[in-house]
Amino acid sequence: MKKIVFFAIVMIIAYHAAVFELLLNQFSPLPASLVWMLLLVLSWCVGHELGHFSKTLWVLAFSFVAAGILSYILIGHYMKETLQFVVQTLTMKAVSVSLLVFFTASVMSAFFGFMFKPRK
Amino acid sequence: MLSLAKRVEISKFFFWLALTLVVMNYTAGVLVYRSYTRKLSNAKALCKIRFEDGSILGEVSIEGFEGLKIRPVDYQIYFYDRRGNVLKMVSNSMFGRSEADFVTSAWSNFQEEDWHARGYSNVSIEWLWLKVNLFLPLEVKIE
Repeated sequence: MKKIVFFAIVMIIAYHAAVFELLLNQFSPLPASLVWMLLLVLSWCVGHELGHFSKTLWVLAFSFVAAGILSYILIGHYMKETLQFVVQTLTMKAVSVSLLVFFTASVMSAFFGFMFKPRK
Repeated sequence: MLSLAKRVEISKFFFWLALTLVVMNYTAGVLVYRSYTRKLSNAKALCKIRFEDGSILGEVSIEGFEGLKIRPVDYQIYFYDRRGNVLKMVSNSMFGRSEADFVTSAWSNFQEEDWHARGYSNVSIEWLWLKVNLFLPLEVKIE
């Protein structure tokens, strides 16, 4: 249970950082693609550490929804003064496609982590 | 083949490395964004215009970019009548200087206060790793 809570918190942070990376792309030092790779590494670890894949899937799905809500609230807090070029990158299409892609990619990566873990 | 203990150690190392990088990148991004918008909200593009026997004298100045490296690119000022037709347009390059002035002939019957002016300025800004072209609205003041 402790492990599940720990990984849920880690994945909430990771998903939230990935969503904000879409908005803060040019403001943050690392490129968006690298942040996605790091997210996949973290998902892999979740799949690797938890005993059953059903648990992993629960953790990922819960963190994804929670991070989405958190991001939605924090966007209003951090980005009151939206700059024109930030708004331009915020097109609905790009955001929704990216969300779908990195969620499915992260679930797949976690599944591989679960698949290739050493059995006793 | 590595031993099991070694493999666990390596995967732990990569986990903490990834987590640290994600958190640091996020924090840096938010901090840079916040301070950048704070710096930009102090910035202003001003244009003072004066009418003198049939001609318009204008001074464009861009100020308030403390700590940012800026290069003003150009400016455009439009004078509209009440119905939104353009009476006059003034535009020029700024050549990287933060001040510019112009003299041009006014349209006929400009004394009738039945017009308004609006302006824009393009500025390229460099700060840390950021390189942004920004479209600033120009405040037009009539003296």
